[in-house]
Amino acid sequence: MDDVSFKVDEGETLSVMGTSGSGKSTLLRTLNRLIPFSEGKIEFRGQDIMDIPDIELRRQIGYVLQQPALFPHWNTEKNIGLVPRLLNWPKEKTASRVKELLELMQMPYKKYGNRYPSELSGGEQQRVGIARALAAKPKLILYDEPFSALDPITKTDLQQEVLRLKENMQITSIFVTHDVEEAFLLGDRVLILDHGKVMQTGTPEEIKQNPANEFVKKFIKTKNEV
Amino acid sequence: MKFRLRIWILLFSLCLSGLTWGQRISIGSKTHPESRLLGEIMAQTIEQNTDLEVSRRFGLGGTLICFEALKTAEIDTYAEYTGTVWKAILKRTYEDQSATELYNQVAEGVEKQYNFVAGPNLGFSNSYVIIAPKRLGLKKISDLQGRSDLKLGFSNEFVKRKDGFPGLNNHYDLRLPNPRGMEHGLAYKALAEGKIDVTDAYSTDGRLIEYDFQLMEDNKDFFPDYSAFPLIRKEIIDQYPEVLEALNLLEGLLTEEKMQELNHRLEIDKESLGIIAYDFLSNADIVSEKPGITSVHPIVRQTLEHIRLTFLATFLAILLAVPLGIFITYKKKLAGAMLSVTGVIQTVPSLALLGFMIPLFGIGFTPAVVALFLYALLPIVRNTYTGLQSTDHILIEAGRAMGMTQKQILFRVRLPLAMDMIMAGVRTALTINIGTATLAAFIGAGGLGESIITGITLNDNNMILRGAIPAAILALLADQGMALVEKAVRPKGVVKRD
Repeated sequence: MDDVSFKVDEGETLSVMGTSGSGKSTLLRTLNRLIPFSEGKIEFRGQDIMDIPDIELRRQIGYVLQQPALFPHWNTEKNIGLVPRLLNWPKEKTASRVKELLELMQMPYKKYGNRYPSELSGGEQQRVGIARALAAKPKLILYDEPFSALDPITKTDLQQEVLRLKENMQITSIFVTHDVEEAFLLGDRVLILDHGKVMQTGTPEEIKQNPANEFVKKFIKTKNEV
Repeated sequence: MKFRLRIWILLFSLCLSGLTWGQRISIGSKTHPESRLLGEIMAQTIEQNTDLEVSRRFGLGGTLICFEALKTAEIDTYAEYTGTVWKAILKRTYEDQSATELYNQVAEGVEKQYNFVAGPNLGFSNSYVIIAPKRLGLKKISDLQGRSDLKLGFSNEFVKRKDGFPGLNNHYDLRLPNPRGMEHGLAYKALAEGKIDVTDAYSTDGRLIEYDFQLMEDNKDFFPDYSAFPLIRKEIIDQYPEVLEALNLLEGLLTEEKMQELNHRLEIDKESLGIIAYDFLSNADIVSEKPGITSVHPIVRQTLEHIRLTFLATFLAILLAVPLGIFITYKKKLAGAMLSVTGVIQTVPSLALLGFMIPLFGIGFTPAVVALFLYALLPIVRNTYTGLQSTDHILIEAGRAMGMTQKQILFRVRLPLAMDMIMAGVRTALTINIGTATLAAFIGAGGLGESIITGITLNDNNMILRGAIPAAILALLADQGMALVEKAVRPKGVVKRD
């Protein structure tokens, strides 16, 4: 990571895009202190994240992993309710929040609440993954290439889901992807990263109209043609 | 969760039940048949002439184990031989003392050094004896002097040992040529058929009564005397003087011939220990009641003892091995070393490991549990470690990202997911222990090995099977039972990994 500086406004979705090895995942993981960083400063809601205990910080930030990474020995309800439990929410509050999220994800509680991850399809698992990240009403949610392992149809469905969430809930999000279309579709703004350096930041329109350099031009072109 | 808790409570109470054993006079014996007979005779004598209860701890290996058991008060008395104590315990050399002198010296030695009391001399000496057909008129060993006409048929061992033929020849100035050795098993028959004229024997060998041989008197005290007597802890006599009074009734009652007969009934006629002792004692008016059939069948008792031993050892092993397995999961550098150490323990032969326990823990229940505990460590440590290692890395990452502490990841994710693997380790440990515990009888821990070892020493296949079959069934049941536990603790939703 070298001289990376950016700001995400409240309610905004920032897409972070780059080739594999560009450092986009690393960037994301420093934000909730999964990876330590040596220089620079990260602020979360006006507070230096190094001043917040890492456990506390992570419980305030939703995280959706590349693989759903659901806990196989817990059913859907227990997986989604994890962070509220860690935060010692009252049981009833957790339960109603889980139900609410399942409805939001169009997975009726009655049908899905007691299913184990091994009994869900890949798409359903990732919906639960997103619900888990949203459970404790985080102020920020980080997506780490969440749909890269899904088939195109499921992927499109879930992208629509995220768009819907964005419109309904206005949660600040950072969405890491190597998929140009996805980045442009979901991001209010897009940040393009290469070898740990920011190539360009701007709205999808700005980038499409005025690619900052050859790399950006090439990158958005190749990807769009695929 | 409740199911699991119940299993633990069950295991725990089984273990505890083993620790409460009533206070009584505990009588031991070595493994060989004669020692068991003397133990049983002493047991019935005390039972019917005092108000005390007796527990029988027969078949405790050899002299050193019995003596150790007496020192650690695992047993209160057992039958010993003067010559054995003199040489093996007091480490003295034989100085041609008379039998009475030796007995007195031994009694003084054990009292001074060990605070033991030598009970009454039971009357016979189990030592080498020279025998010949009666028709030859050889009454004492001196009668052999210069009789180079006799066909000597000594056993291989006797010919070679310095305290055997060479010493005898010298001591009595027999001036006999060095004989060739022969297989001892053939000697009696050869002697009866006149193929040889003289051989050596043990004076109380049960097979001697099948023949009418002359036991020649050792009139110049060449052979060390092995007079039998009860060796008793002094504290017991101070506390219960009636024990010594009762045992004194046995003084001088057992001649060599009597002992041959009793040995014959046990070893060759396969009569039961209790009956043989009763017949002998009732004839001498020492006891009047036939030994009752014990309320608990020995197999039931032995099986319970076996379960107690193995379950307690495995349970204790879980308490150490699981935390150890967790520890080395986080301290990877120690993992190799720790697995090697527990692995090395497992390669120590069971009997040797049990033997090592004696100086540390004496004999009986405790050392056996410790040895079995050590054996159970490896499978459980290894499976805990492997189980925890096999947690999908992405799940640990997810746990961290959700804000779980390392402890929460361990207890809520890694351990539950490893539980069936850990139980598989417990299953292995328990099954191995049920087999190994049969050897625990050698150090007096009881269990089904008692029947097996007694069966081996008495050459009684039925008795061996009475121990071996329940042990095998127990192992199978434990294995199947643990398979169910393994399944029960496997978290729902997790497909069995194989």
